[in-house]
Amino acid sequence: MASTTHRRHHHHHHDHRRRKDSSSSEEIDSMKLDSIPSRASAHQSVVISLPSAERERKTVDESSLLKIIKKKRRKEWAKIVAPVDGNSIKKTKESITAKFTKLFPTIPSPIQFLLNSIENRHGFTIRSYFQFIVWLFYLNMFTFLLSFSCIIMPTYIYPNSIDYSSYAMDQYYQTTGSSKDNTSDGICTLSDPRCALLDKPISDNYSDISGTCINNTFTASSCCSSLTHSYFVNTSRDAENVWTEFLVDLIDGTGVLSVNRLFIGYYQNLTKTAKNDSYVQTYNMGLAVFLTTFACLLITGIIIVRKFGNGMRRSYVQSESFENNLFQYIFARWDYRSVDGIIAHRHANRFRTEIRNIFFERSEKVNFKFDNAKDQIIFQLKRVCVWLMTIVIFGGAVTILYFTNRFTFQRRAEKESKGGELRSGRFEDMLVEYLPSIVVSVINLTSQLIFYFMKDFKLYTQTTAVRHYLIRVIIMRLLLLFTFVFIVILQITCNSHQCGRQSELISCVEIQGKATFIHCWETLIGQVIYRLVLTDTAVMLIIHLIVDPIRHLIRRCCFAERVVEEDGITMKVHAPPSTWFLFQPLEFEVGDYVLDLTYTQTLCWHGLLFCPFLPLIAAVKNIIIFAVKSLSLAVFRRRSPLELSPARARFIFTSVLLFSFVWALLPIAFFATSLRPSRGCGPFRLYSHEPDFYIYYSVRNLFTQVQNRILVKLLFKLTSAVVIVPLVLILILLSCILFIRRNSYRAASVELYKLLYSSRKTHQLAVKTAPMVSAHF
Amino acid sequence: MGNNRSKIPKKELDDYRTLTFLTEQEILKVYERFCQLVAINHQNTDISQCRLSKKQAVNINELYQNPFRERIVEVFSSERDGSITFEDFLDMMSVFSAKAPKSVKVSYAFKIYQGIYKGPRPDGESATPDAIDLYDIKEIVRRLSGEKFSDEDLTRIAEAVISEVDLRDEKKITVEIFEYFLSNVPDFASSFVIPLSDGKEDRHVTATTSVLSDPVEPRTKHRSRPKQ
Repeated sequence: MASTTHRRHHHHHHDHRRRKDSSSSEEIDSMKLDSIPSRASAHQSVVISLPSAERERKTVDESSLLKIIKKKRRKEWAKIVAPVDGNSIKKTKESITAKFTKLFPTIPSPIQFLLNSIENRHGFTIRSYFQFIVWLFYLNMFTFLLSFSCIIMPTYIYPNSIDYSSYAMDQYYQTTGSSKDNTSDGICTLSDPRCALLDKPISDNYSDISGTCINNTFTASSCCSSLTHSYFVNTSRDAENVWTEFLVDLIDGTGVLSVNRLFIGYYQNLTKTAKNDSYVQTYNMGLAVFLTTFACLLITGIIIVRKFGNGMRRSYVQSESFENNLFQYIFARWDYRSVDGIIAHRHANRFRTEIRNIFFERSEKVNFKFDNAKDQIIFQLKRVCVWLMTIVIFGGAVTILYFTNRFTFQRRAEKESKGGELRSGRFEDMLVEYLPSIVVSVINLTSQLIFYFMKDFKLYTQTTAVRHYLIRVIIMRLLLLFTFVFIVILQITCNSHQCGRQSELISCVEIQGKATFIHCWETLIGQVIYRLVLTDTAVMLIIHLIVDPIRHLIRRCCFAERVVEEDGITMKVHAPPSTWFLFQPLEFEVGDYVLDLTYTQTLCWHGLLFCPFLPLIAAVKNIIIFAVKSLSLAVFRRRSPLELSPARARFIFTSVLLFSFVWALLPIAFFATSLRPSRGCGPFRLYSHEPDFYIYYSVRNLFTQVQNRILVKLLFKLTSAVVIVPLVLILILLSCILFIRRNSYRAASVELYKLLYSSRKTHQLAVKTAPMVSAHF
Repeated sequence: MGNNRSKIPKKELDDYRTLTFLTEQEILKVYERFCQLVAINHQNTDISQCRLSKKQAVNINELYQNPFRERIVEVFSSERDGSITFEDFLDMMSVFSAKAPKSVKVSYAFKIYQGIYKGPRPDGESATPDAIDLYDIKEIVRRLSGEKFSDEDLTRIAEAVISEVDLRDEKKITVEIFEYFLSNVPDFASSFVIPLSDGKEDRHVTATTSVLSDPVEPRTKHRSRPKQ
């Protein structure tokens, strides 16, 4: 009797525990096919009735873990592997920021459709390239929107605004009661800055420079403004009437565009006064320009770093070499989403090629092992030679660019010193102006061809050779850009024109004989970058729309058809023998095109301070690039057989962009902190009476409005070198620390894995020894 | 077919939603798709009685191009004969949805890849029940490459793969190794997704319903994996 009651209790206990277990772990409940929950008992969870399991319960006292293992329903399995309970499987409410960041990259459907069709036909890497173009387009439009609303739009809102200094001078004349009009015999001299510009001719007699106007700090900016304005107007008089002249001016960036909103020389502080002069409102354009540029660059930097950081997170646990291993190709390469038969077939071909490439590369590494020391030394010497050649090419390119630039600037100085009347043919002028940009493009192209040829030297494995090639090309471009900017700075600081004089940074020995007369260096830099962008666009269009078709046609009609086996498919291809590498079937080189894109973007960032419309031009260029490249892909070029994996491609895009962005910050920082703004143009002309004014002082001047002198002193100290230099050092140290941490995380991850592996082994053994029930399941 | 929507009671829908990674909308879509596949013409047929036979399941549009389709069907099927019920189908779509966590996908990937080789083994070796061994890898590569590699190529590739990841020198890939290395691949979760197709190209599935007359006890396939 006692035993039966005991058994009943035991059974009851089991029942109770089973019920408790099932209600507490409702996520492991599953559904039986023949018992729809609506007929279930009063459990709030789903029905559990497991008639087969009950028998076991009575015999063995087991833990819930073993129960799970033994029951092994498919759906439970999912919950075991992802041990979350049912509530968190329910939709997690996305935070607002997550929703917003998901909204930002959603591309409207026509573009998405286009991208999907590109992916279907050409694979993921090419699609990610086009997606990169679209992303850059959005970035540029955002930057342009910001600069439009803060810089360009106010000039429309404040029509007929006068310079604040003219207004102040009016007030001064009014209060002192002196005569406003002291012109004599109809000619305005520099002594009277208030000459109406276009009605009366202005004397360009430069000996008059020592006159009172320029030395008087308050009138200096007005003088120089009118002088500069008259100079630019003189050179653009034709273009207002004749549209061909206007077109030429548009391409050249000078003439009518110099006094246009396109370049920053046009902008000035805007003043709106009421009719009776009782109310004055000034829009501080200098502050607006500086802050807008700073904000644009900051936001752009944050966006790029975030994008880069997403890729960095992955690289914390695996090194880059991991991505090229076989495991990923076997187990993670098949895209389960593909339902198209053609794609599957192509995928099989691609798979074979990739596997073969990996094995080929592994066997290549063997080639780099030598038996005797002599061969090894010769091999290393060859590598060193290749790098020396690279450096020689860099040096040669920089020298050529330097001399070209100097020639152009000297030519322009001659023209300006003769007062702008020597107009030796409009086209010749334009050619001279464009010469540096053309030289830059030509050097870029030839060096790219040379480096491409150097890729085949068989001194490194193929992926390393490709990486070196990309590094060389990008360094060449950035180096040329840097030289360009440096020479421009050199010319500016050797300016001998009164209205734009700078403190001499470097001795102007080279240029002193023919001094440069630069009225407005901000507009000059804007023009130079504008021309670079146009040249780059023109070169790309020429290559894709003219050179490609010609090469294609020559290939088709001059070389016989050969039967070529590619990827296991035999097909007939017009192809010359492989030594004629200029006429090989053209390939869509994603790496090169990405470098082109980032080059344009770097130019845009360089010129942001000096040409507010540049982001718009870059956005339009992005559209053109998209159209032209997709046309080229569809007709002339085919996909390259050696391709990057998707994650690697994304990593390369963002890291190249980040590198270019950081590089672009340096010249801007220099311009904003070390060059004095010119007195005759630009939004900072008003402050040029101070001997020591730089562009970023417009922010510092805000602080002077703070009443507390001690606070003002403190703020000034904060922005001086005393604080900045240690800050930079600390930042460098932090980046080193982060780099070291990343490597240690990787090592820790492998160790953890080993630990986990060994601990799982013991758990497995323990479970194995638990009493297993007969295989009823 | 539109009025099949009311066929799933709300309670069941809630339970499905709890147990899978899909939203209600998606569950209803899966339901419609399954009805489409088994070509239900009568409104009173209980969906729980309908199954897709293995041959039909292998040919549905979502799986047709997949080289591992038979193995996928076998893994998700709850019957010995490999047929798919509605809940198996729902389970499959849930695991292959975009919202399933990576760990779930990785474990299912292991189940799919393990035991894929069903051919004869030399010297009477038995199949390794809980790890991916050389033969499985050879089979996978063979299918992925469109069956164009020679046997010695396949062996070479398989051996290279195993030597890359085998930390314990066991000549096979166990589940921990698999999960570790695969979870480091960043694109895996987004490529291990099967979108529901709309059935316009379902030319491979024959239109006969397969309705079993007797309810069968659900059984899980025997897998001696006593570990968690």
